[in-house]
Amino acid sequence: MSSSQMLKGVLEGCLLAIIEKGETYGYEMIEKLELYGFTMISEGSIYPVLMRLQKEGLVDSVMKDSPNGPKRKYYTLTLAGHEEYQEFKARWQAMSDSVNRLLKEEA
Amino acid sequence: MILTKESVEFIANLKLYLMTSGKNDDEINAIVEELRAHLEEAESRGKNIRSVTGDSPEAYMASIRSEMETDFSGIAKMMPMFILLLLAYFLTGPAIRGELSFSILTFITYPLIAFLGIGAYLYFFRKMSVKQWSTKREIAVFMGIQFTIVLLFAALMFVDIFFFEPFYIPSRDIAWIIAAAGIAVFIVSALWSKSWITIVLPLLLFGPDFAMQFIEVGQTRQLIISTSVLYTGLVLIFTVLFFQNKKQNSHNS
Repeated sequence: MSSSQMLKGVLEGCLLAIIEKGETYGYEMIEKLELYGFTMISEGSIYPVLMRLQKEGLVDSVMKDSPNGPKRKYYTLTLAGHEEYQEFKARWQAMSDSVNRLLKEEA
Repeated sequence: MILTKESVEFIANLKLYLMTSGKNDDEINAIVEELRAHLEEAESRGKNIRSVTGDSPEAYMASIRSEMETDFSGIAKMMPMFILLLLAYFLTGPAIRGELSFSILTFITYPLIAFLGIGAYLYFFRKMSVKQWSTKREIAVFMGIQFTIVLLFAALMFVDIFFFEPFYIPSRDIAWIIAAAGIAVFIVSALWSKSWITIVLPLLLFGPDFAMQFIEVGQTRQLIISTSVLYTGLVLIFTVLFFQNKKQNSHNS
């Protein structure tokens, strides 16, 4: 399994985490993700996920002018988005603990 | 910031793909603008389009499509206009010339061919936009569809003339009313789509016939005049479209 395939299931939660840190737009999210070491995803793959998050009412968006170039779409978490983020964090914690224990035992 | 040709093409293809997939116009514009902004920023930092779309633009477009709901009401709104326009194109000319007649065969098969034609266009538009065909291939396919449709119509007309009796021939007054209805459809559609094509093209197709209903000219001369008006007009339209397209492209790239 490639890392981009593995990431697919958790990208939604990761984007919630990035947006939770403060209002941001698509390209900036990619830059932030890269800072955390997420270099395995193609940049465009965040947009279908953002569309889904918006459809599910987890994020809000607003268009703003950028200093040079076209308008940017800025995202913030809704109340439901904050709740979903907390749940994601708990689920991820439980799962990564289990995976880590399992792998440690093997080695 | 100026996008590379590859990115401009990708954006245009994505738009076409989503439109022919029956997605909502506002939603299409929203995601297309967001991606355009991203591409501009990425390219200004020296990245290329593959870092944005991944290795398969095709799969990427499909992933965006699957997050959007199909706008059935939007399609439903468009179809009646489409059908009215087709009918107007077929009926206005003969109605103006007073040659209108209906047989069982034409009554059933004309709409059928029209639907098949629309279906074929939509199918190839979608295929074309994901596969990124060469311009040559696109033109070949569209010429193919166009040619098949014309051939089918011609064959039907031939069969119709020799084997089918018309079951209804409208009087001259009714024919004028049908012609007026056709012209109304052209005007409404031009206003609705905010394009001048459905005004200019019918004018070229049917204008000369209309004028010559009131002027005494021989049949041969009539044919020569209407054909030359049509072709001169078409050449003019294509020249205008060509220069418009060129101007737009030089703006974008």
